[in-house]
Amino acid sequence: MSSFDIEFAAVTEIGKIREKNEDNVLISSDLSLGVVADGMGGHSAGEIASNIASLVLAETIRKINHQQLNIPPSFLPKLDLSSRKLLLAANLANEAIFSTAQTSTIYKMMGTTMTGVLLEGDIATIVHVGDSRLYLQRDNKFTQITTDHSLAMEHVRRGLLTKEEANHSRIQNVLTRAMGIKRNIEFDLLRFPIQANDTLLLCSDGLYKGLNDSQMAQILQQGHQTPLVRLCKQLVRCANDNDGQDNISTVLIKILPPRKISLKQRLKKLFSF
Amino acid sequence: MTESVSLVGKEISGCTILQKVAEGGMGAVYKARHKALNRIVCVKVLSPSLANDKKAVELFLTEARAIAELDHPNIVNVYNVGREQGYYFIVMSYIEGQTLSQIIKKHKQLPIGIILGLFEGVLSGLDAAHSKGIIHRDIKPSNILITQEGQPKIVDFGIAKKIGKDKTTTKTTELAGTAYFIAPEQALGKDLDTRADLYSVGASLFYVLTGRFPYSGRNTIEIIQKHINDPVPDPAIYRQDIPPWLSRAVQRLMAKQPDDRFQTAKEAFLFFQRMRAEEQRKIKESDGEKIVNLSEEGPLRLVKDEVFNTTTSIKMERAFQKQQPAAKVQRTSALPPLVQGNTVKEQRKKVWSQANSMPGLPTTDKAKTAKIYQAKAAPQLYKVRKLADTTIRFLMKLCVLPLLLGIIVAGIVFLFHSWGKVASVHTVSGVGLGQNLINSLFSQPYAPSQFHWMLLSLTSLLVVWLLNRVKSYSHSITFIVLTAVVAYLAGLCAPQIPLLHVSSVTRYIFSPEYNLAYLLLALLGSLVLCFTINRSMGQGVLGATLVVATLVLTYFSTRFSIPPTTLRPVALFPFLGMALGLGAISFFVTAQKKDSALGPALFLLGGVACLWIYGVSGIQETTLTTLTTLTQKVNIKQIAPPTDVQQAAQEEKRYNINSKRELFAPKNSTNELTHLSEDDSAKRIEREIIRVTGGQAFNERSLALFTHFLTTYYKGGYSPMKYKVWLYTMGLPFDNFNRNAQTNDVYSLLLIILFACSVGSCIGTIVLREKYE
Repeated sequence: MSSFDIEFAAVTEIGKIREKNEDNVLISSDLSLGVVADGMGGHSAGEIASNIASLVLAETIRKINHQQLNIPPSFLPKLDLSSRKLLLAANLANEAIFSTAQTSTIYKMMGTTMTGVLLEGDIATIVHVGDSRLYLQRDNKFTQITTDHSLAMEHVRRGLLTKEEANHSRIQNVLTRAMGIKRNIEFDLLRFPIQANDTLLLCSDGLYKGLNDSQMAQILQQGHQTPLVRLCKQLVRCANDNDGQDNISTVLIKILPPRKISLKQRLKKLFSF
Repeated sequence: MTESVSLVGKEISGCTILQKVAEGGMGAVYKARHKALNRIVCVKVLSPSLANDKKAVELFLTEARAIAELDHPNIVNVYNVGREQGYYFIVMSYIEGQTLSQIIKKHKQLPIGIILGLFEGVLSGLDAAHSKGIIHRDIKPSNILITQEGQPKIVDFGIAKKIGKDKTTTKTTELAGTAYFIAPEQALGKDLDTRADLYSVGASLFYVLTGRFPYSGRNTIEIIQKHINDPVPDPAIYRQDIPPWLSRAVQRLMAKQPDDRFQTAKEAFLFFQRMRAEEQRKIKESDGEKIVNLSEEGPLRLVKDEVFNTTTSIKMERAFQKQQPAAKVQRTSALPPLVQGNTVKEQRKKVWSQANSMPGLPTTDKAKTAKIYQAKAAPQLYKVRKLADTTIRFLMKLCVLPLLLGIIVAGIVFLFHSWGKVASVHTVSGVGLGQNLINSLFSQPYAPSQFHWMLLSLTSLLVVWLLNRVKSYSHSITFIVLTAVVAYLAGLCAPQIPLLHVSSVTRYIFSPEYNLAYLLLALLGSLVLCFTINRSMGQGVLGATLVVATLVLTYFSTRFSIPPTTLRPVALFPFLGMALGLGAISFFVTAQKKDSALGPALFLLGGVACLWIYGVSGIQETTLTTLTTLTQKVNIKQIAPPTDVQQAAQEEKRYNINSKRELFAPKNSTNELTHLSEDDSAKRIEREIIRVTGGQAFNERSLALFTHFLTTYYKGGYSPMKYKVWLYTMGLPFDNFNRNAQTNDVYSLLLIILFACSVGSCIGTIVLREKYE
């Protein structure tokens, strides 16, 4: 559990031309978890892959929290608990997708991107693979935290393309990493301390193809007082109006400022060890 | 797809589908029989999931039609294109044969002449396609079919690949084109022209000539990067018989910049033909001798320079990139607002190397961790805040909690306080226990310090208990051990004499009673530890220490002025005791399970018992000897036993049976005390003892004791007396302890220990617990 009060909201939208929504979003205030997964490939099983990814991730974390499942001691013992939890869950999810993909030709070659945020204590832990993104809005600054695992971005990283070129590149949707393609994949793991009034934005590629970073920041800043769900819907609607070629999914996580706690709660906190 | 599976046996465009040959991401390929022509054909069906994508369909059809226009021996023939029963299909000629990659896998190296023949065919086929504006985009050995006549045919004409490239289609992890043969501009997602195919032809030629890929790497990305950056490899390094002109041609085909390559397939084709013809001529001229070096010829020198220039320019470019990685990276990976200093790339490198050294699950890949917020400023602030929090909480717990709990504890403390007094001296005989408890509250405490000690120790003990709730006991083991040692030595401070003179009174301070008090604590502690589940190592060490302490203290608390007996079995008891003690210690050091806790507890108790028996055996022996002497001197008249008993004794004698009747006196003998009351018998015995010893040997206490023993002897027999003696001697240390407690501060000392332990435990708990929160 996080030491902050946290508000979650999620919206997913099929877009203008797609026949089905292969994106999946998951938010859980119990687990303090937010996930965006963008399915792909196979004949038609992208949505299944993204569904498995988000569900297995959440379920594994829940089981670990309830001690129905123990993290093996040899599993990355140097990392902290949240990271191990998240990585184990992500690995299990990948395993689940991969083995499902082997079972039938319908599922063959299916895969998914996944970006998940787990908030525990005052630390946000992020597991990330693929081209979904996590943005952080803090003190009116809007920043992309994750790095896309796409070939275009890989070229950008090595200085072969500029970011502008990459955004209009033909190879923009060629991913270098995705879940379910192989048995063992590399996940990006990121950690940072959260602060009150932070807003975390998780989104699939549909959103950032329709809206550039400054447009997103603008919407988030304008809607400082509006309910989170409405903000979420507004983001998705704007992206759909601008582009709408792909499924659009957004998860917003807002870290609320700490509330004043009563004497009773204070005493309870004092006596609980 | 379920739909495509059911296609077998169906009829599409006059063809009966016979069997599925292959299936890709975009569609399936079937072997079919064309009814009208009565020949085997190949039918390619677009995946139904793409059939609704208008753009995809459009591309599928236009490209298929374009190929259909091409009538070239080196390109697979298309007979029909269209839509039927909801399926988009292409009907092509079915080619019996193998792909070039299959052939290469079988025969590692083909003769160069054959290879050149095949690639001339490929180039000529490509030229025809290029002239129609069709780019294959995926030339590779597995897309070149070799017919049974040895004719190459290019297949898989970019139909699906073009769809895969389109921006609006679903994402994929596979790049259009195969990584091993991909042109740099294609890998970069730039606009393509026909020259991209020439690069792929060059790469394929490299592979077919040498049997190895021009670039290899751990993953697709690495290979692609090499295609973009690395200097063009020289096939001649891997195969000796490649003529220099060919190796340069391959390098020219694979030039990084399209402008440096052959500009058309036709140019390459003509060049190959010309060079082959020239070679033939040379061979003819030299009458089959080895081919002369052609590298010095005109056009080729130019090629050489070009290749060299391209390579060096790439090298320089890369060197430049290495010098300024930060500037490029900062642009791509935006830093979060808080962070200053390190670039993300540097941090990642660090974390990657850490992650790579970590062992993982068998099913896990090495985790790629990147702690973006590792920069300096933020965590320091964070640490300071955390430290302040911890300090405040620590102070809160230390100051506020004892006060709050003190109120609750006060009532319990009073009870214990009363108990202490009752247990020490302030008992009034003739009044019940309850009355004594009430009285003690109002009477003067026995020692002024006692009340304070008790109050403090019990308060802190309770506080500790509530804080710890037993569980975190292990955190403060060190403190307990330390305070136990200190508390034992604290006895030195008990007598009210100057410290310099303490050494002269240690004998009196560390008396058997004093040791006994500690023995009880040590024994209790070690027994509790025996039953602790999941002991930590600290607890194991503590347990072993306590066992040793218990045994030593047992020895000291049973050591009286009369030395132990030297009789054989009893004299061996200390060794048995030590052996049992070792058993208990070995348990603490090795085993960690609760299941085996009962055994070691018994070991420990047995060891203590052995030493105890040995310690008191001297007193027991002396007492019994004295009693035997007394029985011989005391004049108590025997009365004849009843007749039935006499008869039974005679019978036993006759048959030589020894039933040891004399041990059970009441059964076989009666004396003058038999019919007297307890008090009268005691008085009678007392008189006799005084008569025998002259009233000098015994003091008041021992006289009463020996009277009691002798009364038991005359009324019950030898065995009951011996039992009484045993009971007395075994309890002697306790007896002494209680008696001396009335004159010394031993209870206070016990409380000091309790207090010290609890304070230590409290501090330990608070300090150490913070770490775990």
